[in-house]
Amino acid sequence: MLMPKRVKHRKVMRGRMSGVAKGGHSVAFGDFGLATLEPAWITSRQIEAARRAMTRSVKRGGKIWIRVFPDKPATKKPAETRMGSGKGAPDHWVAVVKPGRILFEMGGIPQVEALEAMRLASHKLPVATRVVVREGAELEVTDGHR
Amino acid sequence: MTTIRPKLAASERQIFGKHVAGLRRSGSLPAVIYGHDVASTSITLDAHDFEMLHRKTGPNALIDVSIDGQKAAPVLIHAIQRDPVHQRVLHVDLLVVRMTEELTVDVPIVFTGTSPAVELNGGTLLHMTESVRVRALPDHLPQSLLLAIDSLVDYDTTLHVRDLVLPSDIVLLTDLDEAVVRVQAPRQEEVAPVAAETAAEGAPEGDEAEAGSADSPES
Repeated sequence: MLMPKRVKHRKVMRGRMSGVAKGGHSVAFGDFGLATLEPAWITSRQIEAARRAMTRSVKRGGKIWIRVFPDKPATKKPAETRMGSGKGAPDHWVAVVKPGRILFEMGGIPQVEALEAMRLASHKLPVATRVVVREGAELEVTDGHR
Repeated sequence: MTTIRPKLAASERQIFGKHVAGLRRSGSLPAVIYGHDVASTSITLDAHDFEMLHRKTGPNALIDVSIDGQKAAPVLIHAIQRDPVHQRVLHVDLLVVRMTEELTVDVPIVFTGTSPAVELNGGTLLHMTESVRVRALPDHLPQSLLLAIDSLVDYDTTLHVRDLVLPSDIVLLTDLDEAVVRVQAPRQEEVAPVAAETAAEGAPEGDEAEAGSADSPES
């Protein structure tokens, strides 16, 4: 699973997720992208589950890019603990995403396969998503290199 | 030689700031027009007309824009702001060009032909450079540069910017050694990764616990 190698601060404040994605909202590497339509914390487990769903759907060929990295530590208090007594212990890692952010990209596979793989991946994520196509990708398809 | 350029009607805009949202709701598109020795003017375009025109023409097409029925000026679409979620056009920058003055623009690379490494061996085409920067007179700006990928027969071959066939009237500004496209070998069959993944599957728990404990000393 994705996680930082080392961090400067082991616990961070939760922050806010208002607004829309400021960057990472266009397909940069592949031909198809899976964009989130909601703000959320995406955990490293969810990213890994989605990646596996895509990898298994596309049996061979193609390439997958993960465009988000879970670099924020999320804390959790133990079960049946009274409130107070400070912040909980670091529990997992999350990536903060805002609407429009591309989560995954795929390339080198037909559109039908990419759409199906991304549909399966979206079921592993806590957000509503949309598949976006790289600008100019349709043009290249007509040229017949895929 | 005179070429017929697409035309776009515009009107001067007196609405600014937050009120522009109302303009967009009414089907208009806020824009700004400026250029060399041309004062910057806020204008309004018809959103649908602009979208249709932009789809039809390339990114570096010259357009004749006339503001409130005045004499049309040749412009280049300099920048387009899009909504990150819905991909709707929010605002457009139009650059008034002088036909005798060279311009520097980014021209997209379009791949033609078929790569045997993709078709026969199932490799993945990796686009490493999407566009190149060129300098040319406005009349000679190319909409795209074609690059034949038939020579990509194996996974070691890479096509570079120097492999592009350029018209004689444009100057290439991008580094010639920059890689444009190559083919990556296909992923292995599912069997191997699954075995590796299941082996690793136990590890994350350990890893995580390790990371949790590793977190504190690192800070």
